[in-house]
Order: sequence, then C-alpha cells, then structure tokens
Amino acid sequence: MGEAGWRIASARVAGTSHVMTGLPCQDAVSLTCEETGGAWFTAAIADGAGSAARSDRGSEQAARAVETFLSVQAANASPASALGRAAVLAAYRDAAAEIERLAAEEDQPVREYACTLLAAYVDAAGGVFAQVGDGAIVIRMDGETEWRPVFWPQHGRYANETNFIVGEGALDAFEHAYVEGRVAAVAMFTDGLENLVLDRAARTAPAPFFEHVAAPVRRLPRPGWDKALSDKLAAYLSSKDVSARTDDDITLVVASHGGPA
Amino acid sequence: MSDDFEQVPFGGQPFVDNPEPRCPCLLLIDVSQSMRGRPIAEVNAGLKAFKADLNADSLAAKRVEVAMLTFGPVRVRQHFETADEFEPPRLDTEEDTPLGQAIIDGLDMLETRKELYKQNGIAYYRPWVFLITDGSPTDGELWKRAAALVREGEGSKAFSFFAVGVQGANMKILNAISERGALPLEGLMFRELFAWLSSSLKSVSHSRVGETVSLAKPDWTSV
Repeated sequence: MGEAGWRIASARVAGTSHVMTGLPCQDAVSLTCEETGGAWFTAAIADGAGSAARSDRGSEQAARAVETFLSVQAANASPASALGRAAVLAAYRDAAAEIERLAAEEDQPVREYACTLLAAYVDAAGGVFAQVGDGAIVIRMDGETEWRPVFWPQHGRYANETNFIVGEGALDAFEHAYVEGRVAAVAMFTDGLENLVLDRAARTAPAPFFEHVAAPVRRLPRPGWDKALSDKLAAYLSSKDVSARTDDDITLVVASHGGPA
Repeated sequence: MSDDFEQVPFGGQPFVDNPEPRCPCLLLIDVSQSMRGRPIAEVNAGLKAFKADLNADSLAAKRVEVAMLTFGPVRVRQHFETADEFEPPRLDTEEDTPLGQAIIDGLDMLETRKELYKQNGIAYYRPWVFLITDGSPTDGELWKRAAALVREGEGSKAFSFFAVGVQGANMKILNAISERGALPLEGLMFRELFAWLSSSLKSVSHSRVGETVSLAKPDWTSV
C-alpha cells in the first residue's frame, strides 16, 4: 500500500452557467502537503460571490492568504491543536484585509471581491477547521465509516444568500473547530456540489459519494498531491454525471490518509 | 485493482436526491367585469406563453413554483406547483374587484408554502408576488390592511411585490400598496408582461449564492 501519509487530489471546474455567460470560474483552491512524508496537510478553498465582478481575484487571494498562514504554522512544527479560534480568526481578518487592500489598489468597492472561505490543517493528532459561508468540510475519523460535516453550510434565508469574508460584520459568521483524534479522510468543497452530496433535510453527509472519491486517493502509491488523479477528478466533475445536476462552479479537495497507520 | 479502474477512478452518480430549491411566484389576477373581451383574452394568451417559456428552461421548470388567485370573487385557481405541473386555467371575467382580500389571502397561501419548504428542508428564493388589476378595490378599506402586509413583507424581504395597473386601474391606490411603485401596463401588452416575468424568474431560479439578480428592463410599461 505504500508509505503512510496524506494523499490529495483536487479539482476546480467552471460551472456550465459560467461557461455560458463568459464569467470566470470564481472558485479558488490553495493547498500544501508536507513534503517528506505527508505527515500533515493544509488546504483552503474560496468561492467568489456570483455577481461580484472581481470575486475570482478575491477568492484566489483569500484562499492563498489563509492557507499560507496555516502551512507556515505547520512547517514550523506548530500542531493543529495549537491553533485556537483567535489565531485562525486573526488569519481570516488578515485575508480580508488583503482583499480590502486589493480593492483599494484597484479602486473598486470591496464587495466586488466578496467570497466564502473554508480552511483546514490536519496533522496526526487532529485537525483544525474554519469556515465562513457555504460549502462544507466533511471528515471521516480513523476506524469509523461515517462521514460528517464539521460545520453545516451557512445559508441565509434564501437559496442565493450566504456569508462572505468581506463586508459589514462579515466575520461574525466565522466558525472554528478543533477535532481531536486521527482524521482518516477529508473532503472540502464549494457550494456547487452541496446539493449533490449533502442531505439537506437530515443535515448529514451520506457516505457513498465521499467513499467514492476518497478510495482512489487512499490507494495512491505515494503521499502528496497527485496531478494525474486530480486531472481525473476534474474530468469527473465536468462529466455529464455531475454537470446535469449543477450549473455552478465546483471546487473539491479530497485528502485521504493512506498506507500503514 | 484492475487497469480499467486505474484509468477511470471516478464515475457514476453516488449522489443525494435533494429537492431542487424553489422559486415561488404568486399571481393575483383581476377578472372583474371590466376585463371582459380583449383584456382577459390577452391575459389567457400571456399565461400560456408564460408556462411554455418557463418549461423551455429545464432548471426553471423544476424550480419555479406558480400559484394563482383570481378576483373577484377571490378564488384559488392554482395551488403552488412547479412550472412543469402548472396548467394555466382559462380565465373568464366574473364580478367585482376585491383586491384587498385577494392580497391578504394570497400572502397567507405564500406563508403556508414557505412553512412547508422549511419543514422539508427545501431551500428557496425570495418569492415574487405579481398583482394585475384594471380597477379600484371594491372591498372597502381592506386594501389598507393588504397594503400594510405588503409593506411589512417588503420591509423584511419576505417577498418582492409587483403591482401592475392595466388602463383604468386606480394607480393611486396601487402606488400606496406597492412600495416599489405600481407599473402601468402599456396597452394590452400582457404577453410582453408574462414573457418578462418568465425570463426574470428564470434568472432568479438560476442565480447563485451572493448574486444580485439583475432583471431586464420591462418593455411592457412606460415607467
């Protein structure tokens, strides 16, 4: 089965509605997997607001800023457990401030860069997770079969409303959780996939889809991010199986611990 | 592990069957005596085209839910149904214009529908209420209560309310009811009106999170 450590595949595809309207894909993803043996990984995904003109730039900036913060912590051997609510919230604030700077530089209202932001840092002892907006982080613990959303996607009263990291009172919606224990697999995705993989009535994450995408990742021979499998994941997300059910952008990161425990 | 599996690791549809998010649209249509003749014929033609337009868009057909009340007397002609199930009834003119009661009953129906969505975990878009009339209310001061409900609903973003005045409508009262201002219908452009309505509902039902839906400028009103 190869050496232990995190294996990751990720994909980002533009929704058919964006292709038709000529809008750019407004999702962004940033991730790092520990180089020597995949002992930890950090990831962030962001989804730009549909009508915000520059939200593709906003989401890119936000995902990179928070993920860089997390990976620097990880590289400095600071465990996930050390990142409490205040520390991660501060990183979100910094990401929002960077977007505000970008908006000021480009002389645009900050709402044009509005985006959601989901982040994760998982090591051998546990995982720290954070979220503003919709989309979800779904995890499976070692030895368990159940997948569960760490947070439920933040939706407003209406289907086309959520929270963003910029705007008035934006970070009021900030959620943080540290999950102790050995995490076996993580899936992070933007709202384009929500309706296909979360049971909204029961508020659960039924295992079939997540097992389906995690199994090939788990079987990767080596730890780290795999380009070939990521390409196949993107092809799947662009296929009719998926595109018949959603016309939105989709970003999906699948991480699975593999090899001997 | 087979080679085939290596080549196509992902595939199939291991998905959850969530109900589509709904985009409710309530039509309140005046069928008083004065609508007799061409006006009601144009409304009927407009409704048919409305259904066809919505159904030409597979997502809108599953997401837009239409309900219809006519007045007067106030009658529920159609409970909320997705566009693919919506069968526009042929409307005939009847008697008077109990506009106040129609709004009150209609908003009540809408509230019940929203409750049902919530109970079943169905996501929904901000509902639309569309009032079309060519007269003055004949149910006394009830329209004032209706106007208060509309104000409250618009204020809390519980719905968007549009009042369309056909020639002869009491625009003063319609303006008092509709926060955003009543829209006078040019001539008998009901078809244009319903075409605009279906295309707007299509935009709403396709809108994504954080999107401010920009509606086409109506071509059926002089405002």
